[in-house]
Amino acid sequence: MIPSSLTERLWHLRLRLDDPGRRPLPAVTVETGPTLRGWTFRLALLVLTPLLLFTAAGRTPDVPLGVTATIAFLATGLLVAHPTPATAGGVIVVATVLFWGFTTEPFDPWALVVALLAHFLARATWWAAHVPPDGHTELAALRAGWRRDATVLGATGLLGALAMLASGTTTTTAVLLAALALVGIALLALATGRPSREDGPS
Amino acid sequence: MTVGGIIVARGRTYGSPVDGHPGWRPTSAYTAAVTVGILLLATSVLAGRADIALIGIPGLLAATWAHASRPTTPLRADLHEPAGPTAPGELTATLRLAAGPGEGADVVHLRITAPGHRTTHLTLAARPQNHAQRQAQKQAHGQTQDREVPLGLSSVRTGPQQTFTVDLRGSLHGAWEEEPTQVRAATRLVLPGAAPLGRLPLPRRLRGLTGPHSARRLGDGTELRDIHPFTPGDRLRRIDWRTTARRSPELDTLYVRRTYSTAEATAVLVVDSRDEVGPDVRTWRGYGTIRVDEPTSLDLARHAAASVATALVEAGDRVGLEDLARRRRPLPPSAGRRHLRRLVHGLALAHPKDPASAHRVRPPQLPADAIVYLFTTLLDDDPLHLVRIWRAAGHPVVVIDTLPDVHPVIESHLAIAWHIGRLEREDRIAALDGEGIPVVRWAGSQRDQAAVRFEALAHAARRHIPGRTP
Repeated sequence: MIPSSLTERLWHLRLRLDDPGRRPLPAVTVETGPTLRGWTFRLALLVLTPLLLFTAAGRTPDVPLGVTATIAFLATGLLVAHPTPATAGGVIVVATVLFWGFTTEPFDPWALVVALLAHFLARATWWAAHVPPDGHTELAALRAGWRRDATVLGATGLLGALAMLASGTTTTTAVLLAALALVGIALLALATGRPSREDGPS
Repeated sequence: MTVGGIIVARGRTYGSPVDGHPGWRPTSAYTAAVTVGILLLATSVLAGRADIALIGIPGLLAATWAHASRPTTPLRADLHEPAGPTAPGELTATLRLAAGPGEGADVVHLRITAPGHRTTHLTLAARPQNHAQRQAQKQAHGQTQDREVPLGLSSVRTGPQQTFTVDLRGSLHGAWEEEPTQVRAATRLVLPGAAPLGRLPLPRRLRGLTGPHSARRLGDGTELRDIHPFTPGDRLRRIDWRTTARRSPELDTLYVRRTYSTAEATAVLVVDSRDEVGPDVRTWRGYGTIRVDEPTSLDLARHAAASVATALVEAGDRVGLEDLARRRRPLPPSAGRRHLRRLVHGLALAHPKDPASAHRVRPPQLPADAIVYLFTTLLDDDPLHLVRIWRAAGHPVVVIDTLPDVHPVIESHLAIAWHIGRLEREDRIAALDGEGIPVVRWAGSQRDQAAVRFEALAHAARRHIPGRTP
């Protein structure tokens, strides 16, 4: 009785595995340029998040490795599972706190590397938020904003160099000047009275 | 209709949105970048470290860049479909994206759906990226900013088909996003294709005075019947002078060559479109979705009927069409290429009236001496009843079995039901075979043998009716 039952179960299992009705549905054919699968952005987050956090924490002494690893693990899991700009912003703030370490060090040139990684993390999160894992992104779409990214990173490097030079003379004054410049940039970015919607031609 | 603030009609988006705004909004990425930047800025001031502020600089600069280059033109999209009916497997369309001359979207997010297909998520550059694409666009449409995206479906189904629905949303610099819009393609009519067939069974008696076949009566044909002495009414050009000289040297009797008249056959295609079943038994009662990459019984019936109609019309015979679901008026028998197109359109539009309702099928009125080609799944007794009525009226009938090859059934209750249904169906086929009615199977691998089977039936019919060559 048992072999018969087992054979029957195996037969049904085989039928289930070979069931043509459970095949995945066909896909719509779209002719595009070379594409990238959506899960690669989550893979990038999986690499970039720990890299950012360990790079930031590595510049601060007395941060236990276990704490950094735990934070990196939690942040990576959160960002991969829930890739939103707010989550990425939170991770960047955490990385900054690890980088700061509540110490009063002079200007650390590694801030440029952390800024670069933070920018890449924000961009990868944006793509992961907009492309599902089974979706595709055209490589040309990834290249669409390269001028903006290059300009932003170049300007950041320039500002960092200026801040580094300034920090060699009078640190407090340079920090205040840099802060004032950043306040100006922030005000420009926020532009008081910004409408909630596009104010193009009606 | 209005979707996401954009007017959508006839597969195109056009005009301004209903509220007068192009629909661009700053995204949460913009807000997050500004917030993080200000927070790090404040922290750097409090901590007295400029390098902390530097971490937030890229986000702030990107937000500033995005704020300075606000989008001004909405993304427009429309679907261009080939005009006219379509052949199976050729459901295509072209999505044209027009980013506009001003500051518009640089990236487009697409969600492409089609019945029976997986949803496709795609992110594309809004404008042609390389020089070759731009030149091709300029030569084709005079616009270098427009982008064309060819789309295609894997459906093998025929008849009216819903195709693409594209939801799209443009974004600029990752900081501005447009409200989603929708572009919907019109319903397409997919005409059944025709497989090449050889000779087909014809009615026992041919009608008409002209046609591609030789009748059994005397007339103006090409096939010799006999040599006969001249009688009043015979044409002078039919006198066979050699025979006359041989048989009547004195020319007291003239001999003429008599031929068979020509005639045409009349066939009526009866499509049993009361139900449409696929290879998966689970979908037979209306549950689940029939796959689009497998033909249903109605697709097979359309294909078989189109093949038979094409073979008959190309041979010069008259073909009519009856639909047992009675959704359309029957097509009376006629000949010619134009009538063939009418038949194929009629087949494509045949559709079940109401799968849940059972109604008594009345036998369609047939022309005298017409052969009947019945395309049915033989899943109930009605086709058997019709065949017997037609046979009693003297019409030869050929039944084409259009049930697809059924997949193995796993569920035990469905397996029992299908087992009983299959036995009943086999009984019906055996009864037809016992009554001398040929049943030609059209599904699966046996479709390739159908032409041979038709040829054998035509040959057998000619052998049993002396004096007529089809």
